[in-house]
Amino acid sequence: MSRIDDELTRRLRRASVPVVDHDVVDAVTHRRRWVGIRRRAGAAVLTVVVLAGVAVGYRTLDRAFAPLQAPSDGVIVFRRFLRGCPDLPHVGGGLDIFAVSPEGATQWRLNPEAMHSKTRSVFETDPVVSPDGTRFAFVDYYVGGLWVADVAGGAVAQLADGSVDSPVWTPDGSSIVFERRSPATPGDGTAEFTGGIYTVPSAGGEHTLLAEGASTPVFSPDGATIAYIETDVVEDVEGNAIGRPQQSLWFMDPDGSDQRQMAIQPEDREFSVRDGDWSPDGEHFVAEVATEGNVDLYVVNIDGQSGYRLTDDPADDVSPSWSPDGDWIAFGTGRWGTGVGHSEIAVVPAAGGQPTRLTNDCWDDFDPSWAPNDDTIRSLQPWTVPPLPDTGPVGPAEPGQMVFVTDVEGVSDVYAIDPEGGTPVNLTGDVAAQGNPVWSPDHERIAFAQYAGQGDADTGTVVMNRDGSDRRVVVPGGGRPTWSPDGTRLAIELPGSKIGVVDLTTGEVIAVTDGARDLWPAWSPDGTTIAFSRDGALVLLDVATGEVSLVVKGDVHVEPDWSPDGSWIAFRSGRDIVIVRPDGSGLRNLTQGPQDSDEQGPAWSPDGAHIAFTTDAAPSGMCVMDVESGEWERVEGSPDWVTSGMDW
Amino acid sequence: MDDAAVREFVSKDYARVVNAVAFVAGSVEVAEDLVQEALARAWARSARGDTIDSLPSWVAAVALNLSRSRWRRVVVERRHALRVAVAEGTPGPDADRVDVMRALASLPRRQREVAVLRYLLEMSTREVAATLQIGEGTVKNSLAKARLALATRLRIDDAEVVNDVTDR
Repeated sequence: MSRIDDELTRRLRRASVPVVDHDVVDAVTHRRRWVGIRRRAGAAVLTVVVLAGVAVGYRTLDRAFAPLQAPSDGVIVFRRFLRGCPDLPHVGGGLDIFAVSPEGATQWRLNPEAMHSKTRSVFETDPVVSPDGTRFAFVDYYVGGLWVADVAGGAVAQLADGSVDSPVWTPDGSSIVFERRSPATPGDGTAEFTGGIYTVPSAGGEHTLLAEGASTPVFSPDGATIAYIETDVVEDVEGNAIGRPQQSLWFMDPDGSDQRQMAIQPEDREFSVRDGDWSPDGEHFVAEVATEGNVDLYVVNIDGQSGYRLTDDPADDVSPSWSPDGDWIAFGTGRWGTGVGHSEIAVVPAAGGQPTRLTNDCWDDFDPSWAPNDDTIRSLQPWTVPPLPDTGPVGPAEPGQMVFVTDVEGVSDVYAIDPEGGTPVNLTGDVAAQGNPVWSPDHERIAFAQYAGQGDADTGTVVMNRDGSDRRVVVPGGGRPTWSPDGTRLAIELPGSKIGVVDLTTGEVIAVTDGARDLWPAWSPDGTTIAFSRDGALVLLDVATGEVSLVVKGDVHVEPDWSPDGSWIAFRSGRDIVIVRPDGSGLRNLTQGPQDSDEQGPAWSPDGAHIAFTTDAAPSGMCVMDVESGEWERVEGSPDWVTSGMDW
Repeated sequence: MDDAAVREFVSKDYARVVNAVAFVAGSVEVAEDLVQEALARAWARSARGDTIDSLPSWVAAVALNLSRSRWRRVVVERRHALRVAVAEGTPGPDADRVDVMRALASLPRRQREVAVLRYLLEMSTREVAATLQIGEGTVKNSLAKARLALATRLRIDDAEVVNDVTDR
């Protein structure tokens, strides 16, 4: 380890926080039971049983709202996690604040300049727009703190630091009420304060504690009452928490006085109220109610004595926000999720009915909040998905060229380049991610691994002609390929890290190894042997007998490639390129770059005199080495880094 | 794996793994939930006869995978936002921690994961590769970039250190 490594270790240790572990074993024991139950019964069945218990809690229904067709007024602000989606690999990079019109037709991105400030991280959450619609408050999820930014752009100001949550504007916009969590261990030199609900002037200033230990404040429409969540924890004689904390809904006056509990009690089930919002007339409250395994929305009269269930879905429905006209409730939901973590924004009539989906994308949309005044947001340029980056002209590969994979702004494609250098030609030109392209023996076709999303029909091992035509998935879910010398079969990685062989004529796939970590197959030129990496060791598979023999013992040997005459195997060992004879003799390093430089992806030239690879030693990029002399030079025009394998 | 193994993990490794996951996920409360869930799954797997060679590595890997689930994370966030009375380990406005969090936040997720596994959990390149299910070349490439970015942002300006970075 270098001194910089030592220093980074020291800094990360010093920045670590004390973690209390006294109830961890009990908590894990409890979860373990749930893991077992989920496996046996399935989450859906269990959820239905639990929810049935909750649903019977309200015997009195009070649906005081008229049926509606579609919402129209205002806009809904939310946070979006722009993760890299298979279809939109170029859009990504953290959490941003967006808005959507209530019928879902138009979206806006709020203040992207301030959101992407170099002085801040890009993890904004809990956006709430000021009553006049010109500013919004949010929490920086990563570094913490309460911030305020102009909707249309410009400066962003910090109002509080530390662990902050759930900001809400006072009805006149003069202050922001928020939750601030408990400080670090007292006496460690950091500022000390009491966890609870605070208020701060929206222009900045002193923080005032309103309710110690409380969380999730929500103002009543007339500003006369704050609803909030209290957490009850039962402690033993040593002060250790016993059982699960219970949350309940409370009210207080804006100055923190007259604190009283709301009698929301869906009968005898264990539940928690975690969030909510007032109706504009102040007569009702929509509550996010969590039971073990599920979260749904309930509307209750403010007296807590009557109410009804608003949403009923095995997926979680969270973060309700009432529309200014009182007719609709926006919420975040996982009901249309196409994978774990996928959530969307929806609205549902406040009186009950079918939810309408407002966002329909591959990103995660959370924390909707209805902006009472939408003039400023609607004056912004609507947001649309940015165009794909220019990944260069698509054309054919020529025999003698090297094929490789690199990415441009997240879009990964197969390219070809002359060994002497030049302009790479894009062979695939799409949004799917490719890897490890290999020429067919006659240099007329190219096989590669492709990822277009989990379970997608385009994910698998692909073969196409060198001009890109007749491109097809030959093994769904298959990985890195290597050609048989006669070009009729491919050896590939199969799911489960085994090696398989596919007959390209019949499509039949046969697993030829049963290892748990068999990767990077390379078929020998005489067709008798497949070299591959087994748990990091370089091994050979006799195709006729199925026997596996060791070539080089170790745990970092990968990416084998045979010399054209079959007398050598080049491979990557850790961070260097190494060659060895198939019988294990003649082992020697070809690269021994500057300290910590990283070489990978060795590929023999057709004449066997050269080996191409990629290096991160300056100048980084693709290189061609003369095997005899050991001299190497960069391939002009090649990208800085080949992300996934190459072939010549 | 049994009750004793869980207790040993909790006493020896729990805090370190929670902090590592927290540096990636951005929240100690979320990290605790993720690590506990991972530990419960490890326990369940073990009961079915599966072998787990290194519990800290396995738990870190699963917790990091779980942390990529934004839906889970937001639900956990909200749940823990209410645990005011028991959140004794909640980080406060410690300047050094904020610097480190900010520096890590500036990194792409992959680099962030590689950096905390290497520097906080002190895993080898191979262990990091196995934990994140990525190639060792990718680990090294990511680590080199993370190292340079962290050194720059944290102003680790010891002459020898700077040379070590800029020589690359």
